[in-house]
Amino acid sequence: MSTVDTTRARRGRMGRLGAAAGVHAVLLAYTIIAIFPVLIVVLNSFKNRRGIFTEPLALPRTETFSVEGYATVLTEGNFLLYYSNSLIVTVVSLFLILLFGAMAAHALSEYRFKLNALLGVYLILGIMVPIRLGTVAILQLMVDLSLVNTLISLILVYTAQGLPIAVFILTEFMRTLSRDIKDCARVDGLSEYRIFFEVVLPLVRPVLATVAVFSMIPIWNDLWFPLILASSDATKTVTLGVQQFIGQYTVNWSAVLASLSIAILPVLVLYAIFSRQLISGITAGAVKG
Amino acid sequence: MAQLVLQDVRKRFGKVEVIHGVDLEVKDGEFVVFVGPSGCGKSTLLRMIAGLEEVSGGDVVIGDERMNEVAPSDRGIAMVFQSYALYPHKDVYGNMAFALRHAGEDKKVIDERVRKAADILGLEDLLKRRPKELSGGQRQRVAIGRAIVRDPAIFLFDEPLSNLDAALRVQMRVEILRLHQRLKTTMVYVTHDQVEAMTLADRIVVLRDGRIEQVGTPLELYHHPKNQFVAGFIGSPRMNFLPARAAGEGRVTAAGSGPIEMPVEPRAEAGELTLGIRPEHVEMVAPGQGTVAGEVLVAERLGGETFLHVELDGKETVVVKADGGVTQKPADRVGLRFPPEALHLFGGDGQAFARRERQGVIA
Ligand SMILES: Nc1ncnc2c1ncn2[C@@H]1O[C@H](COP(=O)(O)OP(=O)(O)OP(=O)(O)O)[C@@H](O)[C@H]1O
Ligand SMILES: [Mg+2]
Repeated sequence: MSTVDTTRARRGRMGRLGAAAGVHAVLLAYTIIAIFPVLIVVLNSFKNRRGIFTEPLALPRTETFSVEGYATVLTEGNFLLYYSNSLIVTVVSLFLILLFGAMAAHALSEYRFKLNALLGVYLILGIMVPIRLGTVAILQLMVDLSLVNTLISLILVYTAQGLPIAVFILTEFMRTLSRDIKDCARVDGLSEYRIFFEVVLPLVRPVLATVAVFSMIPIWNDLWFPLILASSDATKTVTLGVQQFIGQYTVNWSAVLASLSIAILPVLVLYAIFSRQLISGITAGAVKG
Repeated sequence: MAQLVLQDVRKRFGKVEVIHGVDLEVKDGEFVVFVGPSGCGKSTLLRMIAGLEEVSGGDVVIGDERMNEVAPSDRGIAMVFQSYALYPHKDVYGNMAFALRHAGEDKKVIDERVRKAADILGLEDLLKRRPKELSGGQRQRVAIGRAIVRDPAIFLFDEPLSNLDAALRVQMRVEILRLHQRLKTTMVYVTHDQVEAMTLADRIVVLRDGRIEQVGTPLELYHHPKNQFVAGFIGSPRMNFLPARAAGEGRVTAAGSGPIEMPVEPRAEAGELTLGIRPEHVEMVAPGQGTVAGEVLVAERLGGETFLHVELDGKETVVVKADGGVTQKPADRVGLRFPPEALHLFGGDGQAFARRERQGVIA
């Protein structure tokens, strides 16, 4: 009886171990596949042209090592300007998405009013309709508003693009917040705005970080709207700026790879910031801070 | 003076009315407990007093002022919630000081009041902790402390103890009682636990389906319930009910008994009657003696006392609270005596017959 039990228990443990190993194998494989191209880009950005073409998968050696790509990027063209354009657009859009998304979600989850459900559906309908379908109308609108070739046009479009999913996720999460704590703040005399900023926002911080992380990437990487709405030299973003090294007949690969490598950096930094928020949000109160 | 008056207070959610006109006066310094089954509207009523729920009809008056449209923070109330509702990102001190800081109170005054409240509740050593680092009892104490700091005219409690384990609940109950004795502030307390209601209340308000069934002191409700609902709700284990039949001259028969003299004012009643007797009033006697006879189904032994579930010959079940040492086992036959002075009688509509002796009532 007891031997049967122990063998079964052992088999159970082995089974669990096997399952865990399987999961990890899959995750590992996925990680390698995902990181590999990025790694190749970064590696090759430190090689000269010959190195890139003759041995694309090798580490840079003394003969092939070169930072000519970085030199080109930093001296030629307005790369720093493009860079700051991208940063401004991304950060401002993110801020607006999080602020308005959270406010809308708070209103939808907290207040009973007529057409609440309908408004909710309307706000998140954008998840199903790609914003690019409206490109022509958006362009016309921007022309009418004289916003073509301004960063504002990009910020507006990205905010609109990011809001639906932000509203959706934040609403679902805010519905689960305790009603008591908001009521308590009301009894304590806080205005509805202060309840939102001082009570609700701190409580949803981890979710805000999550929304921020996956709203950020498509904005940073977008080529479509910069190309259409803000292709002037003063408003180019990084993704658009890289195109200048891709000529019709020759491509300056070192420069392209170097600019792409640099472009990865801020995303990593922002991600690091948000994911720390994420973790500190989850453990808030449990760890003395 | 902070008395609280409810005048024909009603609440509708959409088209559904859940509070159907409640009239109540709570005197200054009184401890009033709302009790009733789940969904009867206790929380809704309390939230209307707090101003967290709009009043659909009638008036809420605190002091001498009609409060229907007054913001919760201006009503002079403080509320303690079932889920504690502490601000998780603030420490204990920050939680208790929050309302005062927000009201722009002087730092010194805040510090003084927070420390006094912490002293009353024994929270001095926890002031720097976050809510997550506290036990359930400590959290509830912080929630109460937060209410004390605001120095309200009326305390509102919505099931503050129902998230605590049994032992802690008893302890906190005593603390709340002592708090009331010390502060002498008006308190309105919601619970569905009738033991809490009996032990805490100056007066109990029994609610059912958005209506007040009865208001009275705990002993008034225990000895003179107005109807079958209140009789069944107050007291544990609940009162036994047996179908009864009038036998003339103020007597009834129930469950195969002979005619029993009833201690109630006679009243013309045509319909079915119900006889009520509390488990603690049923006496066990030898089979063949007593009012009725039956067979023990189950014996629940708690050590100090035993609850015997007895199936009468008419198939009704009666719960008897007996001594801890009784030897009766399941399937044993027993006789049960119903002392006439302990009996209750209810008409077909559930309304109680007025009992003659107003025994043990503290007015
Ligand atoms: N926001 C709301 N919308 C619609 N109906 C509601 C709302 N809040 C409460 N109700 C209804 O009002 C009635 C009373 O609810 P309430 O919360 O006051 O009950 P309660 O006595 O506090 O019950 P419990 O002991 O379970 O807390 C219930 O039938 C409930 O379904
Ligand atoms: Mg309730």
